[in-house]
Amino acid sequence: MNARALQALWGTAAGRTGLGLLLLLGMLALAAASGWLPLDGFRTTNLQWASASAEHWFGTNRLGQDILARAVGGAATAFRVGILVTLGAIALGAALGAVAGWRQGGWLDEALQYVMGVIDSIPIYLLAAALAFALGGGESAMILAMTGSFWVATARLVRAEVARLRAREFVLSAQAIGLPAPLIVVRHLLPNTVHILLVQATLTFVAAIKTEVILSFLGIGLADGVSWGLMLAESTQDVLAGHFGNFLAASGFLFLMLLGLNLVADTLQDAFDLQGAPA
Amino acid sequence: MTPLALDARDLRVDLRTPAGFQPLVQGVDLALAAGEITGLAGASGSGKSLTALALMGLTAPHTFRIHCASLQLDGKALDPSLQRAMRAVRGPGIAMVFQDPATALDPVFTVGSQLRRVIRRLPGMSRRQAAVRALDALRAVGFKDPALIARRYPHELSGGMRQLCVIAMAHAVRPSVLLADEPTTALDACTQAQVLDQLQRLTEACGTAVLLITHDLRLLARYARQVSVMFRGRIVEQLESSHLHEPGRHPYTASLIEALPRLHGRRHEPGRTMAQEAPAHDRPPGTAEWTPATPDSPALLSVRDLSSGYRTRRSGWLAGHRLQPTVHGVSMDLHAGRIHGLAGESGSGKSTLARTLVGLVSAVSGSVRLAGRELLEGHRVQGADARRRIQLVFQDPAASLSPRRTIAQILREPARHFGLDSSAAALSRVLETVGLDDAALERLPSQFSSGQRQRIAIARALICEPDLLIADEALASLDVRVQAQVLDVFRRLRDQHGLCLLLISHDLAVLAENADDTSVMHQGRLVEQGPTRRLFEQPTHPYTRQLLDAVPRFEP
Amino acid sequence: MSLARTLAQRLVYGALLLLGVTLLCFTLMVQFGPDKTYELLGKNASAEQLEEVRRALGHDQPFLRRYARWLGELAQGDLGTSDTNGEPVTALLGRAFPVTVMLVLPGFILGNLLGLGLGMLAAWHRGGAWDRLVLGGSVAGLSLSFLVVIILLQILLCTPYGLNLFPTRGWRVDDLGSYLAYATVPTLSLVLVTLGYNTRFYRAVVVDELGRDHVRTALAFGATPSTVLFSHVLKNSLVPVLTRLLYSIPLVLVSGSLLLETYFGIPGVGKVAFDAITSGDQPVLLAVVTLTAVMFVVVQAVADACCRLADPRMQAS
Repeated sequence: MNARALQALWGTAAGRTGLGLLLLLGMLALAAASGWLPLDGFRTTNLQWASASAEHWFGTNRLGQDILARAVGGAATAFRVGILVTLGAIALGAALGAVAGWRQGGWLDEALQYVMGVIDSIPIYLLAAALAFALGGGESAMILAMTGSFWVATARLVRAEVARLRAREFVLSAQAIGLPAPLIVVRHLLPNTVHILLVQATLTFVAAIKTEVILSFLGIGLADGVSWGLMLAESTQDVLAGHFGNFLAASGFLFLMLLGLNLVADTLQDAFDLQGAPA
Repeated sequence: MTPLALDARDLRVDLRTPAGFQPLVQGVDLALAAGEITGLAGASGSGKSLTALALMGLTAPHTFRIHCASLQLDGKALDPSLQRAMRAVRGPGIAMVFQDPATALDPVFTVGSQLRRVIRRLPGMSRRQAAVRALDALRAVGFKDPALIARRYPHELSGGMRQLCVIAMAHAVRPSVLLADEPTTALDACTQAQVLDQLQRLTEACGTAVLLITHDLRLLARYARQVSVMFRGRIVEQLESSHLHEPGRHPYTASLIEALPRLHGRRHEPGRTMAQEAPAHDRPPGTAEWTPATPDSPALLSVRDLSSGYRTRRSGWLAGHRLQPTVHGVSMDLHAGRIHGLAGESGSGKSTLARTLVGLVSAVSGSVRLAGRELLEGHRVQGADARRRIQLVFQDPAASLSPRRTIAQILREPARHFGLDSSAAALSRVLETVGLDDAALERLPSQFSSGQRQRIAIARALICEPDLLIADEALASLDVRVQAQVLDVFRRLRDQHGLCLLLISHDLAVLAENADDTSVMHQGRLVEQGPTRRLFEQPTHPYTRQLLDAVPRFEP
Repeated sequence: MSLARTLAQRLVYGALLLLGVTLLCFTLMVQFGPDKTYELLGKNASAEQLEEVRRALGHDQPFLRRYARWLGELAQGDLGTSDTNGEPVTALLGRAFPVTVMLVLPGFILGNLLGLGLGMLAAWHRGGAWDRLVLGGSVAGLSLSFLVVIILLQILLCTPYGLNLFPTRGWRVDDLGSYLAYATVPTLSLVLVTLGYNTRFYRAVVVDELGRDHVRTALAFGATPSTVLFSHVLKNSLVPVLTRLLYSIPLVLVSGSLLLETYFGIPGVGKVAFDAITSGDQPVLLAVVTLTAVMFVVVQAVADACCRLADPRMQAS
């Protein structure tokens, strides 16, 4: 990890708040998943639509399940989906972006740019739907759709940066002594895109969580299990009847998680002075 | 005594940091007399530009804090920290010309419309009057066809012409004070004189007081009457420019003057005698066999009829490649133990030639022989041996070292690649040659000054144990004092290690002092070459003469 | 480069893009997707019946031939018929498209104008209190999910628990009054959820432009803030701004409208796409994907032309 990034995250109020929020939610999700906390989002009781109480902080839903437990379970889902999509998209984006940037103007670059153009032209919801058809739905189709679509943004940025850096004199001097291209890319170019990758990782995380919620809400994402999107889907009926537990819990947790990520992204962008560059 | 157009007392600029205020400019007094050029000299980072921006009230208010005990413009008091007040005087009161002509004008408006917009802000200017005045201003800076220039977009003009257009703005607005921040640094010597002459005409025609900010004392000696020398945010000396040659200057001023390269009257003679007299055990390892070369001994590198250039690629899909040679039929011989100078304006093909020799650019035709062996294979200089024995040091020290690798990693990479000694001892030996010590090894490039970085770049070249070291404008971005240090390293490499150096520079004075032989390049061709002294004393080609005439003199 | 050459290149590139997009989606949906013949015939169909239907639909043909046939029909403007109700897809989309445009256009324009204003304010006071306020607000805005915004605004504006000013859902538009009644809440949602992104984008562009040397030159010769912002900065940032505006149009029309229309029950392109997703209506889905890709190709060409007009440096080359 990058020293400047860590320094910025610990050194600023925004960075500390963001990290704190993420750590808190992460630990909560972990504790619930490993059974350390008595929060079971699947256990049904005959207390339907109970209002908030000491036992059920956000009340219960129409099946009598504890809403807080489901919201914490939603955090676990969000982390799981977010981390998988982010890792995949960043790795793919860095690798293909570096190749395209190094070969800027060549046929490989043109081919990769074409692929990126194709993916960019397919709205994420339709890609997710198509993949859900092909793979029979579920979490893996959703994660695959997001990874397959989100890597493009990172790849474009890495491509531009690598193309910009490859005319730099430190790269020329590596070329002049005859260093093989893959070595130059890995040793001299990719390390100089770490700041882009870190920022993109947080932004991809944000996009993944937002998309997961909407896909699950629409019924092309998570079908069973717990998700803030599913809770929000339930809540659309609830709120018309005056039950706000589901909505408050899901949107509150969602907001805190996104806020944490965005604060981290913002701090990183400031630290790397990327704020000025239009995305 | 001419009246003062601008009188600033005790100007301070502080950087706002989370830890408090960090002073960058302190206690600066500046007095600019109407109708003349006043100089402000100093190394980069000494606070010259910041001083000028502060006087304009153009520093970012949330980044810098400005304080000025008293600032008088045309006898009226001003406070540079007040945005609104400064906005009112900018233009007709005080204006500024910046360094980079490439970006100084708005690319999406024509020169004429930018001039007219500036003029329209003056009281009582009609559209028609503004148009007339804009053309007058362009004529005043020497444009023969102002109407044509006014219709041009900035990208259609050369750097010098763009800078003249900004000066034309000054002619149009007639400010009391014009601050010119390194206005000619990015220009060729010939254009530089043209632009500065126009700046001088502005002082005469409009009575403007000009502050000429530059690192080049030679320019101030010629154009300025009063000179202030700045060092680390303070003015260390103020003097008449005619006194620059006299002894008894402030030590910093004296060191700046001493470091100035001179076209005539001083030469760092080749250290042949020195090396010969040195006892054998004093010689660096590996050079024991070396005997000083003379121009008659066989050449180390022999280039014949070399043409080369970049592949230009037409943009878009299914477009072909085209090779556009920028170097045409160059022939030259380089000898061990000598410094060869290569002079010429930017764009003359010097860098392309250098890059062809290290295999970064393709040759179209010709031959390159190193110690008798042909290096060109399939239009490129190839082969590990050639890549090791010819090393190139680039211009920009900020870009020439891989930013995220330590100096040890940077130095070890080529050594390992060529199977040479990459031990800690070898690294520190090569660092010592360029005047740095072991402490540098574990640090990152960003922790060094540009002069130090350039020396590290030289060390990276030296660790390959090259026979030929090419320095492609390696001094151009360094301050004169640092430049002198690096030249010192070059001369030592020649004298003690018998290295052959190709010193590429647009600064003829540097070559006059240091090169044994010099070649002059113009539009991709070598127009003249020979021993430096003969070449500079009796130039035969008109272009060489033109270049020599454009060099700012600094001789009493 | 000549104009004809550029146009030819654009055309070929556009065709290739269209081919890539449709091939990818066709493969995913038709090759790997579920076989719809069972649904058509019910559970107890005989093998012969299945064969017959497949032959009638052309489903017994190899994949590439089916794709080629689909392309051939597309070239004639025939997007097939909906699996669910047998209606021609072109008619379906022709009805839905204007609704979507009416729905998202005001929000799109308003969101960008507001973003531009806030971005300029922040950029001009870079590092100051206004900047911090706008940036802080935009971080909060970025952290809002579209879904949450929609539900929240619905509670606040359309239910008895809030102000109860607008209908909760639906689209029965026949005059301006009813248009405002049904479009206001979706528009506000769209503005609110895009404002964070828009503000950041415009701020970044303006900060970028304000940092240029020619802006300093203009200021040094007495230009006023309004001259700098509205003349130098705006005209110079036309290229990135137009590019982004144009490229976001297809996304807003399809992706943006999907959630809005589904949630509010508005019969636009998004709703059509959503219904097709839930019912597995392949011809409609393919048509929506094709429509998006076509929009991207058009947008690319328009963006190209606009950038050439906006930047004199590109006219020369």
